[in-house]
Amino acid sequence: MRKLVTMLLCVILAITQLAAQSRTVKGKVTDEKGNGVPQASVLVKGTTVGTTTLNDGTYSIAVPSTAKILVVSSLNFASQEITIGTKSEVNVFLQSNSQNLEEVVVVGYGTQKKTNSTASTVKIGGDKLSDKPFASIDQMLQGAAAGVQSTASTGQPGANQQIRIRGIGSFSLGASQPLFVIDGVIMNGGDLSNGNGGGFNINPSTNVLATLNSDDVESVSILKDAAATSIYGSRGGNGVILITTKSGKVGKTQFRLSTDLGINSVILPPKAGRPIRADDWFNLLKEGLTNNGASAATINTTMASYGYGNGVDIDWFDLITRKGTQQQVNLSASGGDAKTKFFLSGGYFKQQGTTLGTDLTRFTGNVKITHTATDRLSFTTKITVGDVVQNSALASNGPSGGGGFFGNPGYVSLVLRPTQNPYNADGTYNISSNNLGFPAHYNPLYVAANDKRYLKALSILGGETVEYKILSGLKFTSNLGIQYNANEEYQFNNQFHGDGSGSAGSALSIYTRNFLWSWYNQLDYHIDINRSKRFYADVKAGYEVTKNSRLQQQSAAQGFPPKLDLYSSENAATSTTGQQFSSDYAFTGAYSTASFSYDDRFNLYGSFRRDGSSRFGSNNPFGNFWSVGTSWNVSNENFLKSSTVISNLKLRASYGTNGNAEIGNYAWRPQYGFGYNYNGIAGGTFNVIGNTDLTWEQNKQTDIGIELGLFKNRVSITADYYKRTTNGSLLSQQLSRTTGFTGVINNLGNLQNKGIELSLTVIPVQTKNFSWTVNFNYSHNKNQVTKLPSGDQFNPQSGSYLLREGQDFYSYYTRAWAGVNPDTGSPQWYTDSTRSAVTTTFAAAKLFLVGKSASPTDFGSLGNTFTFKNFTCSFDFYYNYGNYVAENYFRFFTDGSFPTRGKYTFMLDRWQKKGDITNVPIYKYGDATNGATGSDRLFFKGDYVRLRNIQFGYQLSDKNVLAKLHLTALSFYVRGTNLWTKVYDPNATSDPEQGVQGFSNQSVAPSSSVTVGLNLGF
Amino acid sequence: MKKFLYLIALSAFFASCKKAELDLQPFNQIETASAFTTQTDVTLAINGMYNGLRTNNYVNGNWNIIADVMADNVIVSSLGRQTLTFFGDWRYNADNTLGFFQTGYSINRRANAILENIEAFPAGAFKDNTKGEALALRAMVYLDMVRTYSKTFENASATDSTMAYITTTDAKILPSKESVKGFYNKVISDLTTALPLIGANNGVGRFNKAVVSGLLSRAYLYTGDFANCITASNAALGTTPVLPNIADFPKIWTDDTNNGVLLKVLNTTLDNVNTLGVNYFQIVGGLIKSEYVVEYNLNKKYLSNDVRTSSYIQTSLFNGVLQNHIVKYRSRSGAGVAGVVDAKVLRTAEVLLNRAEAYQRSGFDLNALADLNLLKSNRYTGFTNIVGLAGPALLAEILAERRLELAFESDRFWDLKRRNQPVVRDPNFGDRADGTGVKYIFTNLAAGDYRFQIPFPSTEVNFNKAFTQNPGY
Repeated sequence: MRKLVTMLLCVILAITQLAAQSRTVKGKVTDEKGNGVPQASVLVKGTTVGTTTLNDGTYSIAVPSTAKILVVSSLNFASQEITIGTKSEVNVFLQSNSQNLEEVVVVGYGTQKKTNSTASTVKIGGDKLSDKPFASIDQMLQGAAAGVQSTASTGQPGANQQIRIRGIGSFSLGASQPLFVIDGVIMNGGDLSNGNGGGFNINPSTNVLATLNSDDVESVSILKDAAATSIYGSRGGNGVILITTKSGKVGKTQFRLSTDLGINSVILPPKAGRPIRADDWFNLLKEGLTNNGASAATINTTMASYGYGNGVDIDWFDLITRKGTQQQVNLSASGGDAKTKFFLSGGYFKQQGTTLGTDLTRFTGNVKITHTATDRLSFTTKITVGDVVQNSALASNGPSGGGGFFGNPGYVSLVLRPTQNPYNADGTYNISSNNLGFPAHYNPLYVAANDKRYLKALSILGGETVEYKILSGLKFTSNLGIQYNANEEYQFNNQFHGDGSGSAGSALSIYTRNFLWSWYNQLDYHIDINRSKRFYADVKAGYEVTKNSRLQQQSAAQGFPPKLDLYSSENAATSTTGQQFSSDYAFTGAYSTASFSYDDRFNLYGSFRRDGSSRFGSNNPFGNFWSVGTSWNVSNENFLKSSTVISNLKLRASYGTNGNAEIGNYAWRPQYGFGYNYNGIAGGTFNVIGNTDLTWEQNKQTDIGIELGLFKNRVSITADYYKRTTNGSLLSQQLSRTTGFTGVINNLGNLQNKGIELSLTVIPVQTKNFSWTVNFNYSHNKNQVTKLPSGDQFNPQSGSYLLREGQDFYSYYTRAWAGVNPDTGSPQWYTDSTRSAVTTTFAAAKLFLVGKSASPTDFGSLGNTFTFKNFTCSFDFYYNYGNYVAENYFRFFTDGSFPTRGKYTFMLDRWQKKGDITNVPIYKYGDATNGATGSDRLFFKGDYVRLRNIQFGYQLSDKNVLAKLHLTALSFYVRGTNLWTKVYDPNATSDPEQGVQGFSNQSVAPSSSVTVGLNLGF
Repeated sequence: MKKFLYLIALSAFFASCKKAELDLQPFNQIETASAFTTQTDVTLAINGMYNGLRTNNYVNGNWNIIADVMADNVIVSSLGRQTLTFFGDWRYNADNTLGFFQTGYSINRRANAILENIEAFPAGAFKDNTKGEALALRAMVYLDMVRTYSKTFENASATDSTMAYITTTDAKILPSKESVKGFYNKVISDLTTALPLIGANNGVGRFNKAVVSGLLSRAYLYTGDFANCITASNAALGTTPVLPNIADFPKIWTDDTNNGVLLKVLNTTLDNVNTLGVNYFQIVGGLIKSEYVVEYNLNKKYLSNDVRTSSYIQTSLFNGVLQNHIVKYRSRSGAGVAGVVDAKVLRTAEVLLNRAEAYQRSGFDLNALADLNLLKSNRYTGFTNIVGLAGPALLAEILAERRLELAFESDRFWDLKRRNQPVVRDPNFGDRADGTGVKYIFTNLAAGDYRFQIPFPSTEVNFNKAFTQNPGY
């Protein structure tokens, strides 16, 4: 009791003292850049009297007259003690903790100081990823980092982006994609919609990343070399993309609203590839029939049957495309105190494609809360929800030939004759089946108006992370993540015209669900080896389990009532399919890394992981993967510390092994399968040969890099050389077709990628009001197939390429076109690879590797940013060259073998009379020379430069104006995307960006967009 | 600290169930070791084998039209989707050829798997019958393959080669080609081995003794062994052949009768495989939209008193154009789904025509004429038997009747090839019922032209150096 009284007295005393003798001290706490530091603690030393700074870093505190020293501290800054004397204004400059002064890189299972890193990684900040008119974040990676090829194979909104890091490391298309890791959890990436066994896809291309709002992303880190990726063991072989979502920041709650609105326009194909118009078409028809020896009477009746003289002249490409709208709205709130931080956001994104029937609408919601329960224990909870509706055009992006669907708008815009009238006289759609109507290829306007082809995807990412500091320097982390993805796909082919007309309307419904959970538990230990703390080690050890289960349900129905609105299959007379398919996979991995750093000069890193998977054959269930890396920060050596030229110099090298486990879930098991039914009774057969030795593809990668900063980092250069060898890449071991199989999967092939990467940032001008920044990156990769099991074989992705040791992976194998015989107009080919003799007989021309590849030799980007006071202007070019694009449907629009179809504009250059020098043969109705098939005449150079991004922005900085508007930030911009493209080959018939395989399949044409945007902070 | 201990404990639990986590079984498959242990397993495998017949490129694929498209029975409809025109124009090549090659071998692998595994079963009727079915099915597929890809027995020289006759499931083989004659002999050997083993009645949709005899009749006709053809045909037809009669004939095509059908490959309404019909037509707005229509001259040969005329052909408007549509695969009776019918693979009428031809060509004109009369009396109303027809005129009449009977059933092109005849198309008539419309552009394939042999797929030829391509490609 006495104690209590004493304490009470003391308090009263203190308060009265304060009241009687305090005075006010004001000031501002800033960081080294002069920005106010919010929520910094300002405390009178030796007392409990204190306050925190406001958002702009200012503070005001009543201090007792006895006060002499203020202690100012804030998270991530070294605390400062300031003698106040009699001053009433005390401004404090806080210096970042040395630990945080330096850039931090996100690496597998944690972060690392950039100076300590021994790996080749690229971090792309969220500011580069927000407010772009792209549906998914991977589209924004095009040109963003050296060594990363990001290419689209279709202009369908929401489509899968094909990404290759440091070349092609696997023989199968899907397996060459990098691994996607979101907030530490290895995810299912890519296209999670149907694609079941290569069957028909309702939505030719979808992308699970399109369910993620890029405005919710803090950063994307790309891990390239073994020192970075080997920690992912059997799954890191083709590179890793780490996505980190935004977290709350301490301070007053910050609201941010960003919105943009714009218009998408189709990028027209190059002139040679546009469809010809009616007069030209009739001229060709007449000429073709004449050249085929048709009588005048036949010519006249044939011309008449196609409507000669009716005056119908349709530009089909124009009809199947449109201006699309582009819009997004994102609202977020971020804040928190020392205990609890939160980030909340909601987003809306709508992209209307420029091809009829294509669009994407997305709603996203995101919550992330971090709570520090005690000074040892903290946990983070995250839920990210994305809901997408994607409407697709009937088209395929693969080498499957699916682009030839009669309802594919891109394809039919070329196939249809300009003389086919899409409308009847009364304005309704023409769906008649005569030569003036649409007997074969459908009226795309009717199909777009009345068919349905959509994906409704729901993605949920959940995460729970617990961190517990056991001892100083020893931390336990448990991270549980889930990815739930449900795809509802539906297709309705109407009963009156098109693919469904033969069955009174047909519907296909596919539901695909993937549920993935992944849990790792990990210990991190920081050991100071010497007292000065300049020599230390970071050691990590963990164990991870990942499991995914996939379920798919399919149902099909036909026989619809003649009501176009009743497209739901419950209205159909006959249900034709109703089945469920399931497939699971699991991985376990134990991993460990150790990183030693001496005096911020020498770093040594090592990693080890042991992985097991349900996908590995019973003879090879577990694999070990390791890496070592070292780096030397030369600029921290005494002899360079005083250099005025070299501000940063780092040399690094790494070597390691890792793998790729995109094998197919049960591919190793020899199997006897069912579903081979007869007469309504179950049946089975041996359908998978299997291979119990089957295992991961093994990668070995060497990387040597240099990071150089000059003139206070006004010039910074990063250059890397890498050599990546893939051994035992999965390849179907060819079998004689007489076995009933085409091959058996095996670890057979070796691949090698060697390349250099260069990134350059230069700030030529930097004054108070004006700055100019140049970003440039360049990637060169040389791919080689280094070992094949039994000599040459076709590339499993397509027979258009032949695999041969020493040659590029995507080397085209075909006949070599030798132009047109000027005397006869006949197509000519070289007889063989010597190119010494020509023939006009297709069968007499041998196929060989024509020295052309679908892979670019070089690509990269060049960007410029100008900032003048509050104005910003930036533009980024993407360039790509050295590859060839193959036009898969060339024969339909070229020459006379399909004389009743539309034709490419370059057909106007056809051979017509003796002596004509041209590359286009004589036009003959029903041409049987095969001139338009099976040769490198179908290829064009894929070289192009594209203005990927151009932007003008204004940021309001006048605090008074902002305050009057009750805002903390305001900026607006105009942005153009893909506004200009330079295609170098005059023979190009389509946009040269056609995915990694370089196949032009008349898929949805790419778009450009112009958007205006507004960002508000309050 | 307690919470932390719980976490450690939980993660330790996870670490312990490592191996079990990784042993994931597929949902639609079993391990091969347990696939062939009981009679039930064998029955499943037999179903799987018959299922193979239905896969693409064979009897439920384009097999029922390809021999008509490549010959002179049909003309492509200008109102259709222009399917298979590459074959109709004889423009195929090794990169763009029929998929039957791969399909055929994969079907026969199922038969071979049964033949390899059945040996472990106890001797008896079940084992014999199973062997008989697998051998006969294998022989039928190989016979169709050799008809497609190679010269026929009679036209082939001793050195002319064809595919390999694979009788194993060994996936490592790299076989050499077989001589054409040797291949045919193996077909016949499989069938003659099957004949005593197989049961007389295995139910509709499966092989039995009569089917095997019927296939032997076909094989002997192709090898020109007329004596054996007659014997085999006799066994297949029995003493009173059921053809069936005029009243029942239309029911064959609506699956209301199995009379006259020795082998059909079943395609239930639930299976709903409509490719048989879709090869020929689609129903659009209740009307028949044909891919191919009856060739003008052939159509004239179908007389009004011929029951086949209405069973095979419907003259009706599509899009205002009158065409002769092929309705052989229209649908089952009642609420049948368009194009969904059983595939009729072997009919008594074919066997009877085989026998008639064999009789005639071995000098038994009277027997041949009797067979011809028997068939005609079951097709033409008011038919009176022909008398006195003999020699080449009789043969011509038999072959003309063969064309009418087996039109749109994948016989014509192979039959022309067998007899070393050209394909001659009339360039004067088009795709409309009145002979106007779009006409043939490719009109002639000379007898013996290399394109009578469909090219082997380049995938096999490139991989297996011992497997040389057919001449000309």
